[in-house]
Amino acid sequence: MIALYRIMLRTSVTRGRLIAFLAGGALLDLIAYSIRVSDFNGREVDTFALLDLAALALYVPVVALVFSTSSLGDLAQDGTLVYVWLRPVARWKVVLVALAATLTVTLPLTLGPSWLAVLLSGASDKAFWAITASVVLANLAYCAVFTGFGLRVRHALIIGLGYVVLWEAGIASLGKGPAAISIRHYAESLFAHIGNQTVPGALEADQWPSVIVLVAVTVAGVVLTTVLLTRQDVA
Amino acid sequence: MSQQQGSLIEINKVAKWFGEVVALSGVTVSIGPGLTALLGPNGAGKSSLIRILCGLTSPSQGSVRVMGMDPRTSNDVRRQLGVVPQNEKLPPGVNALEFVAMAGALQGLPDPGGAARTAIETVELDPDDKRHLSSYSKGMRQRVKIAQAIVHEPRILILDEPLNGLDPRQRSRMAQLFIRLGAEGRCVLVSSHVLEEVQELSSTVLVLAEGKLAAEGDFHAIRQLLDDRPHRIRLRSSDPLKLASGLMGSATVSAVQTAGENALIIDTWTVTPFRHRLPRLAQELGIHLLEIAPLDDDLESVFRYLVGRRSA
Repeated sequence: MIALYRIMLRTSVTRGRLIAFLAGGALLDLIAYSIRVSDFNGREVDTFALLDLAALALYVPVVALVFSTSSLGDLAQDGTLVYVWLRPVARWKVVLVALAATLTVTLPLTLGPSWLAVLLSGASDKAFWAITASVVLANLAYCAVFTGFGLRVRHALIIGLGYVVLWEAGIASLGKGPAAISIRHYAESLFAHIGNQTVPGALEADQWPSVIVLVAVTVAGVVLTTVLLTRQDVA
Repeated sequence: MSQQQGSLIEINKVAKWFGEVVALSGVTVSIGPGLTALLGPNGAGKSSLIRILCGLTSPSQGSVRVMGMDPRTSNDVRRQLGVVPQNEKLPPGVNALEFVAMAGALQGLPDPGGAARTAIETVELDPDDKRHLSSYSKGMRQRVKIAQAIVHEPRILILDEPLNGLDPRQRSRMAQLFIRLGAEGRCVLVSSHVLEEVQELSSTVLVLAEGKLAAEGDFHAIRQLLDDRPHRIRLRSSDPLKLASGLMGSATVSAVQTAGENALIIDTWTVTPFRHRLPRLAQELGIHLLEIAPLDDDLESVFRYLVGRRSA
């Protein structure tokens, strides 16, 4: 499975994707630094707002979307999935390897700029632990869901971007009803609880229910993707 | 369905359709050890049948058993199956050794790197070539696909147009490899749309046309079937009317009709005697032959004839 992991990692990490997301992360850090130099008294609150709106609502789901829809989705689209599918390997193992390969890229790409943003803005240790926990769990949940989405849906990247922008960053902020079926808002609630800060528009779910929901979404995503992979017609 | 004596693949009344398009219809056949060629024109349903045999898709109707098991669900089948798909695409960012070793590792081989080296050398490529597969020529990619299919020395090999893109020398070497693997007692199924290719490969042939099994059996019997059919030929000459009257008296011709300036269209059931008779007749009549063009000698029309003949 290590050989498969290495091949999936190499096929999903392209120079263009890395440059685009490193630039996005750098922009986040630039804004964080501007908080430090411009707003001494409110820097904790402003850092939390920035990490919520820029990192949790947009950057994390988009990074997860791009890499996880391509992990199995690109193989299915270009016809190379056959070289994995025809092997005597349990489907759930293939899905977990795809998820591991995706997280190998998405975690550093999202945690790195988030940690740097905390450092540059001069926010407290609480912000560091809050963003770490919420980014890790949000990554798991998004990647698990988007891996199956990429496998099953043509143009998953475009449709997924629509979902992230319209639902996760948009409609889900309009009330507790839509927020309850949004991954972002559980990550956001966890972020607010650990950081002991009020995040505007957060679902206000408790810490452990938020963790449980995000873990449950991850498990459900893996199970669903396994079923889809098993039943998939392979070109 | 009980497994027939000696057969590894049992296909029973298999049909496959995609919406309104029928790709396969009522195909029943057993395939045993040795080399079998699956012959048919493009669009005949060869790749659909191969995908069903490998378990990559389910039949819309009928059943397939490979070693008595369902290839769609059985890992035991996958352990014994090597496949060369028709799709040319290979994973980017990896070299041949990494790719073939991954195949070996997923098959559970104890030494996938060593097995990959052997398989790559068998298809006459260099296992130490560090270039990515994306920089390989079509022929080299085709041979890498063959290497990943044989890396675990499978009992059943299914190869979808594996000789496409190979130069004549490589084609001959790979054909020899398939013949050797078949002679070792493996079940080797090779699809092709080129009659001459099949002639070189195998004495056992399945002919698929318009989604139906048009003929099956020994290559020479199939070849006889292909030749033993009405042929239509266009002749252009310096004096078509004189040639027509001469041909009317010939036993090798069943019908003659004029077809524009200087041209005749003739029907014959005995094409070889006709080919021998025609130049002599032209010489006897003092006529110059300007063109002899078979009008229905493409494989598609031959296969259409076979399908019509089988269903008549």
